[in-house]
Amino acid sequence: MKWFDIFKLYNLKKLRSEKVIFIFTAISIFVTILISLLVPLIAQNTKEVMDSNIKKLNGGDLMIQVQYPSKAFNNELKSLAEEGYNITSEGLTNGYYRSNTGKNTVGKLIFGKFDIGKNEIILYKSIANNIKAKVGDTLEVESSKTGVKKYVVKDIESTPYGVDSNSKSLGYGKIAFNNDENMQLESPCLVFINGGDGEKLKERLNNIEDGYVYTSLKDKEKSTQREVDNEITSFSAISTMGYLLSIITIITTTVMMLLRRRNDFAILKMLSISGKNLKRSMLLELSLTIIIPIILATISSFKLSTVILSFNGTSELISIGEKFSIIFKGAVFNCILFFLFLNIALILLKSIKPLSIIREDELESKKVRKKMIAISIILVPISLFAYALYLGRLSAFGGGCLILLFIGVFLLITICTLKLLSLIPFKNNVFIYGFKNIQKNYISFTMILLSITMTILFLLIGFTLGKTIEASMNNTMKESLPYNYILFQKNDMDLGKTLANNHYINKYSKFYGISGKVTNSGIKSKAITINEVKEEDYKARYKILEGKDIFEGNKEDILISNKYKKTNKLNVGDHINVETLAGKFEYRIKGIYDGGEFNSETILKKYDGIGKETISYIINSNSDKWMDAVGESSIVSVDTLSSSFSSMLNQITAIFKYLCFLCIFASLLFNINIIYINYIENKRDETIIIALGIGKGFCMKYQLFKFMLMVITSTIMSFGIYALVLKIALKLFLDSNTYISPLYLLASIGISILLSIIGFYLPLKDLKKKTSYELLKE
Amino acid sequence: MIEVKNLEKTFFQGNSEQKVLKGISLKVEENDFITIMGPSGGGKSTLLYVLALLSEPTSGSVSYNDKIVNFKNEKKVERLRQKYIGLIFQNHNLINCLTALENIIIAIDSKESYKKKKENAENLLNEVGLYEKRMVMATTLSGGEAQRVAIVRALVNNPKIIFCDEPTGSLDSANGEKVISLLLNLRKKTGCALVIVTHDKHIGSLGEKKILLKDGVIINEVV
Repeated sequence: MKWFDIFKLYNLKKLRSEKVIFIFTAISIFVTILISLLVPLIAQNTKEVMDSNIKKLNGGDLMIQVQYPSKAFNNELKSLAEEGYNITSEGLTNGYYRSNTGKNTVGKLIFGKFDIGKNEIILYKSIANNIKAKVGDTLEVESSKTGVKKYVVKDIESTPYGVDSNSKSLGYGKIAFNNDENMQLESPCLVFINGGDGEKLKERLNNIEDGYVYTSLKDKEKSTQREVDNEITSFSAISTMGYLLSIITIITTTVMMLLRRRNDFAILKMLSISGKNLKRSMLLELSLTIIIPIILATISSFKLSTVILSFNGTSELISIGEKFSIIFKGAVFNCILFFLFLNIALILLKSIKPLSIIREDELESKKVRKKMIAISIILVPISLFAYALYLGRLSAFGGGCLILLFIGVFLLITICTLKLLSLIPFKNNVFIYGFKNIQKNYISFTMILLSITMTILFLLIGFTLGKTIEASMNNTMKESLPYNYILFQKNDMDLGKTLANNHYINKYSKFYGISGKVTNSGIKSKAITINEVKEEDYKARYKILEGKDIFEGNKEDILISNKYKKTNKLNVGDHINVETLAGKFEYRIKGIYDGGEFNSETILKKYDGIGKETISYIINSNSDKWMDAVGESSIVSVDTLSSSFSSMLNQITAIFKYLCFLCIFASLLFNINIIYINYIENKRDETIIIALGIGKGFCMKYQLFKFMLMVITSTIMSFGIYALVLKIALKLFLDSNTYISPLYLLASIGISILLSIIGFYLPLKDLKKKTSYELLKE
Repeated sequence: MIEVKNLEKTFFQGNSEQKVLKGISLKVEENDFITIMGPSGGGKSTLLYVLALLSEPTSGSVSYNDKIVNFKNEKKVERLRQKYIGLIFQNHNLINCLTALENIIIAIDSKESYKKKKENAENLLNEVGLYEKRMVMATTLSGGEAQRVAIVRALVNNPKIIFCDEPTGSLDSANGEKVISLLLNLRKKTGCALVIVTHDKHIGSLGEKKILLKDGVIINEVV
């Protein structure tokens, strides 16, 4: 008989009777293909936005971050202007943003020749999100340069154009430079040079002043490339997860179907129908679970990418032709990939012989299963590599490998845990049967566990990372810093007495500051601020981590922050040379203070009268009621740094969140499918248990035992990994302790319970039905 | 002990229906040894499943110790089955992921400690010559060994009646012989009733009461 006739006569009937599993498998593959197509579309769009605006992003052929005054540099700029280069500059200061809804935040304030009115402001998206401001809203901005002033939001930039990295991470507002208000362009500021080769200009200026940060178009291209790569790596983690779930789904569904139809195939083979024809008919039947999802995902991805980009506030620059090309390539790639794994699963058909009606050759089927697993294990990384090639980014392979490594460790841990648990001499039948059953279905149990764990982990990253980092930074700062507010005094005011008499203030210290440049060649962070303090003004004292405090030991020596020490590999006893407008100084380091992440480039020393540029106060207070007493002086709360950081993270994880939702859906379908397949495979055992009179209650208890094990393990694993990775990352990158809200643990348990309930719903519902004992006759 | 009256069982498939048992009345008393024979499709296994409380009759009644069994109350039926009935199938139907010993322990219905249950199961396995195989997984037992474990499992709660559906059907004659003699010995020892559905004429002839079933009707009953 021809294979197509077999398909019409046999497979179509089977397809109808097994439609539920078919639909679940198809939806699972659909979601994965959809994610795999959305990732390159979004990444390509990000790249195009970056590429087409590279000069706009950099602000010019060369951008320079001027952090301290340098006469030699200024002279060179004058020469460049005379040579015909177009030189512009923008001032940079800290700004305190308040919306009329009462929301406030801190960020950078950039003032330059922007094409806006003098009462208008352009906001970066993170600031706008923080204070919930939209175009047309009026907000109040407070800074040492402008005082307190009201602005109307003219535009919200979702891509940071012509700003330094600090402004990008903290958020910024741009206001028009106004000569009437007598604002001076002085350090810190941003200088932009146009009309030449940025690389050559960079080299020329770097020889004059090596302490500034120069960004040429080439540097900007590199950094945007890195950003796109990072985006793709994080997205590819989700698509890798989707691929793994779908590959397992298609293999297990196929294997289960072949096993359920074993007798039919044995009979058909006995009737001299060739294995090749049976394979072809099966391939056609199962290919419907691939072809239909591919068509649907192709159509959906076309529109969904536009929707996601517009939700994210990114303009869609990618053309329809390009979109079509990416989607077409992706559809072909997915087609090849899934058919490959489908063919691997169909190898099992070979092990079904006519004799299988009477007795199954267990050795042969074990051999075939081992072969299938081995080929799949080899093919998965190859497929991920191929996917990275399709994306045109090898970093995607990195993300995929990271997930594979994680899965490897995960499997190792679960194997060890199960081995250890199996050593416990359980004396309860539910435990004995439960564990034996889990051991028997180890792979599928672990995969469901993995899928729930990864889903919770992705949700924790997508929805709580920003808040967790914010809380961690806040708590660490509370513990390490002697203050929670910084006050920048307006030149014509003296706030010392006001603060001293204010009973809302616990303690404060007053500093006289001047910016300068470190001239030691071995020190990376050239720009510094010298903060001088008088003994009678030093009441809120920094924690000394090493060496001596300001007024101990040699009074001419200085203190540096812990972060500055680490960044520049400095130690107590080292000398640093500083150049300021007040002169050149050589200082010996006598102590290290804990400055957290705030103003880490600040040197502390006793007052000698050189700090004439700024007067600032660090204030420890449990209330904000003292603020009214300080007039127009600007105040920065330390927790605004962490909220800006959190806002930036939220922006980065915005698209990740949308993909997370798709991943939850894929994971749900996977769990439902695999748990149900598992249940069907074990139905015979459960029927025996019920027939023996041990009862449905026992089966329910055993399913609940598995359920509980799944909830507990997935919560511990996901939350544990989240906490561990954060702990390491925060210590390494922000030198911060980790504080995770217990609510997130509860949320993890809740999600795990919800995912498990949905997964176990079908088996539990089936168990409640009247038992059929026909299986016992087989 | 068990009495069925006017038992009818009909299977419905789509619009068609198949009447497998047609008004059967039968009584199984304590210590009875009944063999049920008949051609394939005659309703032997279906009758056995109804008697063993695994299947609800379409009409008629099943009573145990003069009390009519309410099949709607699944928990009560399960309880009855566990306490009074032992089951042996053609295909031994052991739980594959458990060892021989665990297959027996899991079926024990008592409040005894696990240690006591284990001792009990080990003693029973010893009696059927399978003590050495107690820790062997069910899948690696031979057909004869698996069936002997199934017999021990059926007897572990001291049932009043044991139902066997073709207990030697998948065994060679030597193993079949061993299984039957084991069953008869155990019946003698425990005093339980034994109901065997079989195709084997020799086994059929061993019954103290022989029932011939054809087309869902008892056509001969020899005592």
